[in-house]
Amino acid sequence: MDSDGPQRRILHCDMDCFYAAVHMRDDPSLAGKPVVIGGSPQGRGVIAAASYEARKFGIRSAMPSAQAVRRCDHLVFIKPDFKRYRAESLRIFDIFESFTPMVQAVSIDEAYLDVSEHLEPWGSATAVAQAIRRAVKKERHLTVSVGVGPNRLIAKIASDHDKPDGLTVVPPKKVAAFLAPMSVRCLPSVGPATEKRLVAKGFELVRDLRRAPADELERLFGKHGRTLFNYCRGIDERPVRLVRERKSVSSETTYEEDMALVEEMRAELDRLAASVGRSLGKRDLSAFTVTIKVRYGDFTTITRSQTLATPTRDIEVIGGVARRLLSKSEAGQRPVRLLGVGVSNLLHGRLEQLSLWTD
Amino acid sequence: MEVRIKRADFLAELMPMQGIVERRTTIPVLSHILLQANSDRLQLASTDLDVSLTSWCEAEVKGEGGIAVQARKFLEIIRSLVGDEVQLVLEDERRLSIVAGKSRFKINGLAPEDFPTLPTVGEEEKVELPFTKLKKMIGKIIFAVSTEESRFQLNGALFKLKDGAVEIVATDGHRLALVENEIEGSRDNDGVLVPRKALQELQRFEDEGNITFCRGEHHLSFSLGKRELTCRMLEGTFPDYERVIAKDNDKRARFVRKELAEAIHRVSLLTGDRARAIKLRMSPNQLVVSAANPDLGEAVEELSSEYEGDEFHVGMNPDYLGHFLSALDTEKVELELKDENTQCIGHPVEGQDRRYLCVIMPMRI
Repeated sequence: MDSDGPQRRILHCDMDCFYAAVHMRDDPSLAGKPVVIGGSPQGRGVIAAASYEARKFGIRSAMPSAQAVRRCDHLVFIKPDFKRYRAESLRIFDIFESFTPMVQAVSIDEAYLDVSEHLEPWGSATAVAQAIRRAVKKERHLTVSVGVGPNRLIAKIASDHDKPDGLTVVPPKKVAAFLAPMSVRCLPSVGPATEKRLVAKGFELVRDLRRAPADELERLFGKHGRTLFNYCRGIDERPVRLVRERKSVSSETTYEEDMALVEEMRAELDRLAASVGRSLGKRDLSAFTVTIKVRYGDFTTITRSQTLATPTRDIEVIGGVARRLLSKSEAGQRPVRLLGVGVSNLLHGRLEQLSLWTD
Repeated sequence: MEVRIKRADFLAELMPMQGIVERRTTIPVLSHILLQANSDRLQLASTDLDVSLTSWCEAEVKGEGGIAVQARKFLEIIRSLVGDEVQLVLEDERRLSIVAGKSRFKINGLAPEDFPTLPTVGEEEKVELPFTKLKKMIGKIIFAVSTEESRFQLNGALFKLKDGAVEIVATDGHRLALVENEIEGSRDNDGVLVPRKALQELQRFEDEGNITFCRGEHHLSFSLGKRELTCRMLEGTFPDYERVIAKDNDKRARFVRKELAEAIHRVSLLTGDRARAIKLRMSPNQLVVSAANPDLGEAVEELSSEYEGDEFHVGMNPDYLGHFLSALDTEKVELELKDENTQCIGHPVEGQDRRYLCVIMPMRI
């Protein structure tokens, strides 16, 4: 529905009940129970998130915990663990970014993806959306609802259409029909106050709102009126902005048995470097700094890093630096239980100074 | 110690000492210079343990002895004084009084025993070289010396004495500069690695005469007039540099050096701070230099060249090319190229040096 320019294919990925889902995944005893994340009902805490089971009791986020208990006496309270959510979120965004570098984070569990230029090898935006959903489920054991549309507005409304664990695709030709029967409240930027004023004017559904002339909406809502005029027609030209600037890429492995042989560790570093190098390539990034992480058998952990004169994404260069850095650790004299290779100080694109000698 | 010295003579020897003294050091005495009076001289010395400099100036010595004084503060004082003469008197072991005109200073210092013993270099391997010529040669390669501490064997230049010639080579692994000239009195050696700091300090010397170069087991010395610079040789193997001086670069382009240098400078204004790259697009009789940066914008400049070959392009760090062009002293420069992954060899057209070239690896953009 965009006025001109090439057709865009935008995805809105929204994790289902994210905080609660993380806990329920990690603690199977919570399955099927009404779980809420939030402060204690004895205190003045509020609900930060509620599982779908809890929502059946009318429990919503931001509700005071004490009130929630009154609605459901067997509610399971879990203290929020934001560090854990952030770590999980990073992993999920890594998955998103393996499909397209054009990822705009809206919050910890929600993102817009512009896949217009990144349809291969899946062939269509719908297929990309399916692949993302499969990847999140397989790698993180969580579900994500995805909306596919020609712009952010439609993708956002679509992702909410079939939650949880849903996929809704709205092709450009179906945009008008998709929006028509919806309440004006579904449009972003329409809150309770705006909704009330719109309904009072007889604009209850999106299809009603389309009858409103642009100048009337502008008179009623100022600049916002112009946005409403466009939104109810499915027009939204906001680009997907790369809010989340990538700071680092890394890969690490904890070994089932501690490693004692330096040769073995070097081979592992090469393997981790290859994985890091591939992610850099996929995201069209190069890195100035290479860091290794070594956790010894007694859990003490050290990192060593080196900044290069020229950024690289070359697997052999990263591996070479990682192996050199390993010699600055006590690996070999002490057993090692975890190894990691990371790169930071990133640069978009490829800009590699070639060397006179490759050693 | 009690001496009277000519302030101008003293300042002339005091200034080069500052280059040796480390600004940030964890060993306090290394921020000091050593002053020692004996017979008719005031001797000066400074060191960072790797590179040391000694010198002297004529003095009227009434009492011998010495003290180490804080180098920068001492220079500031001597520089600020008025009058032609300065009197230095040791008040006690760690206190020096400075008198000139109506000014009197008493500054704290350290005992001479606290100052490190400087290495002495034997004269078994000794060569005399014309300093002006040597200094010019250093200026032609010093930009290519690596500043990356992890590549310590590249933190200096290779000094190779050949029969009747001297060759100096420096590289940082991405570019390499080599200069060779006939120099009488030179004898064969297998090459020594002179640290960057020693090269920098040598460049500050000004003298028309010959410099005496001695090689000891671990140290080198360069003596010129009153001054003697000693340095620890860099350990490690210098890479096989003749191997990277490509012989089969078939594309040759000539430029007016100044035009090329200026165009590169202008275009490089639109490269980023961290990773600088320009694109050189060669076509018959024309070069297009361009740069693009997502944050800043784009820059393009065309200039004429003497080039007959196929059209192609290569990415390069503008600083690498710029440093070489500034070190050149000829009107024209020739670049020998092959493709976007092969090193570029630059050399002067009709230069004075027996051999001077700079090898630059391209950037993959």
